[in-house]
Amino acid sequence: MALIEMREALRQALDEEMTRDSRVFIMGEEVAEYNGAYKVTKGMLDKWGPKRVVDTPISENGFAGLGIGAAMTGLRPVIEFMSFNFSFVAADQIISNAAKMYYMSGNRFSVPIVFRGPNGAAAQVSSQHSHCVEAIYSNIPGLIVIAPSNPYDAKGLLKSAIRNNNPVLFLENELSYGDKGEVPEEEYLVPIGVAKVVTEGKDITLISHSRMVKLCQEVAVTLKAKGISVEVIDLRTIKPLDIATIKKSVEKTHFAVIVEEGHLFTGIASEVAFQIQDGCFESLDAPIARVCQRETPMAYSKALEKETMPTIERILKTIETTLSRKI
Amino acid sequence: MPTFPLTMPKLSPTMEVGTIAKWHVKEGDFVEAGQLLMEVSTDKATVEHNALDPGFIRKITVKEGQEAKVNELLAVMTEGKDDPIEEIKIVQTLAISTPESRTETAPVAAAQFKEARGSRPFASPLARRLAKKSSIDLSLIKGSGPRGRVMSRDLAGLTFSGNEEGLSPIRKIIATKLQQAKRDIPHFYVNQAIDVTKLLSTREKLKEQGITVNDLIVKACALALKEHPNINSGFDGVRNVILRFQSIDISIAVDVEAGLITPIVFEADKKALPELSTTIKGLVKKAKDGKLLPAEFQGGSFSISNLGMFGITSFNAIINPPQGAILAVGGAQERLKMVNGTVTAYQEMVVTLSVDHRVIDGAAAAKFLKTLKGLLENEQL
Repeated sequence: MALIEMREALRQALDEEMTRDSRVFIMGEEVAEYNGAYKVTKGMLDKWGPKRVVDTPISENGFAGLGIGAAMTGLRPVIEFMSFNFSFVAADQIISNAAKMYYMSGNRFSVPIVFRGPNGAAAQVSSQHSHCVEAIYSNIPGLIVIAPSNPYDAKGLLKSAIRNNNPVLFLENELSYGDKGEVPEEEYLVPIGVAKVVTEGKDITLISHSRMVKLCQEVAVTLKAKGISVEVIDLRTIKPLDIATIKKSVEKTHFAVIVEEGHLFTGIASEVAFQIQDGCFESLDAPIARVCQRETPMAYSKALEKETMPTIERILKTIETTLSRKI
Repeated sequence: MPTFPLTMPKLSPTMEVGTIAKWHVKEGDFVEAGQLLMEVSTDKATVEHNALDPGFIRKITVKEGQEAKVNELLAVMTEGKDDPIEEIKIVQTLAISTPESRTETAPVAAAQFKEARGSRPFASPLARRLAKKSSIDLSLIKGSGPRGRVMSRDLAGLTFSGNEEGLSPIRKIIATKLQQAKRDIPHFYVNQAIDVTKLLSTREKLKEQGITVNDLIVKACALALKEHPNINSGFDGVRNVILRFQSIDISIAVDVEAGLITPIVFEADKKALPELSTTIKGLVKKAKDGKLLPAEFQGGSFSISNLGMFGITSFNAIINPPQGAILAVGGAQERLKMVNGTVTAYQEMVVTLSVDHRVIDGAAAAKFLKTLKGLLENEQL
């Protein structure tokens, strides 16, 4: 096992899949000459050359469409968005073409494409560059949505995403690129659609994804010291949602809190909460609660940015209310 | 609700009437919600009951030792210490009146009281499920959650937390039959200590032939039953008739994996020891293998249950209806007794005869045991 950064884990996944399958190529802004805006594709141009590591102009709708066309005609593109905020420019390609092509063409064209890049807030990039897109895209049938929280899952899931024959949105996080984690030397895959219990507990279930998983794990450590045993579930894949793992946990703990970096209204938390009550209503000992981004555009102010997003304090307070006991 | 009633709570699903075993408050006392008010004896148990709402106990209408029906008025409470006493009458009418007249006289206090409690207890889905499973009346539980919501923790200790297991067919028969027997048959029990020193030495001699102590006991019982046909009798509880069995057919309780079964040694009195022993061995093997035919375990005129091999001293068995008696056999234990001024060691075995008093009286049981004792102590069986 080697301790590597998330960006390195992602690079290994790309490199291994490009080695394995000559149809795989990378395309996006600054992915080649500049080695990637966040250095995920560092050294890739030198190794694989300009035919497989392709710089594009600032034209998301164009290169997303180009990628979809390439996927339809037999290649397996990995399209990098410098930020998923910019995917909105390419939303028509993603929603109307990538997600619908297999259906609209009567099964003649599948679209094995991966759109990847950082999602959510970073450090003071304000309202237009801090969006969490998972709730928007998860609403569209035909898309797989993945959001790993650590280097191991990031590598294993990206490899699975590249091998999948459906369009995949692979959501990374700018603040997590430097996170280190153990990654095995030998090849492995992490299956799509399987959540993971990252901290075992028995008193309450915390469900989260991407960077917020770390917060939940910190909360679990804090509460363990106070005698409350928290189970933390990392969704890993948002769509398809692994409700079975969540259900099993809630049937054990009887309490559920969902933590999501994205906005409250029609967020991922809403869907998870719905599915929990649908699947294990009679196991619930209190209403399901959620801690999400507050219903406001992201502030530029550092202090306000922090308060807009879920914080450890907010999660603790929500757990206190849910358990209806002082902690 | 300045004035409100305290009524007899329904403390178990089958409760209709309760007796005030003890009041923990007296007139004029202020009680907090959750404070112990009284102990109520129900058909099941004596249960403590706490106040649901705070208030002053103004008048106790049912004293200690008195009975009251569920929902009947027990005491009148007021919110304030000196709230007008006139309203007591109104509330009293409410509590003991029929539902029809209740609407006629419907005082403000009554409406408020009803609203405060609500008809549907406020509880989490989990608490509801657990309460249903354990037949707990949620309206009697004080919830610790927000707005008084009953949560699962409020049912701690009241619910069953182990695994539930369905009954196997044989278990179901055992459960039904023995429950009925223990409930319907007026059992009484007669013990007899027997010196089995001689019997055990006889058995040593017969060991090579495969004769067991149990075989000897079965044989002795068969002979004793022959002498006392009134013990070889039963009772048909449906038709209320005494059954006098024609032959001596002894049911032997055999412990099998699935539970317990009682194969029958038919006409045990007519079988010589070796034949009896072979028959019993055959039946036990068949029982353990689950190969007994219904005719081999249904019926019988008398039962023997022997736990002697486990070394227990004595126990009381439940009668196997429609039979009228069952003999419970303990293990042989070394004892000392005085014989002509000398301390002598001997082996003692205690047998207990469970008897259906509807058929057999004490003296008859005693006479039977005396014969059995004589046979086991002296006779060559």
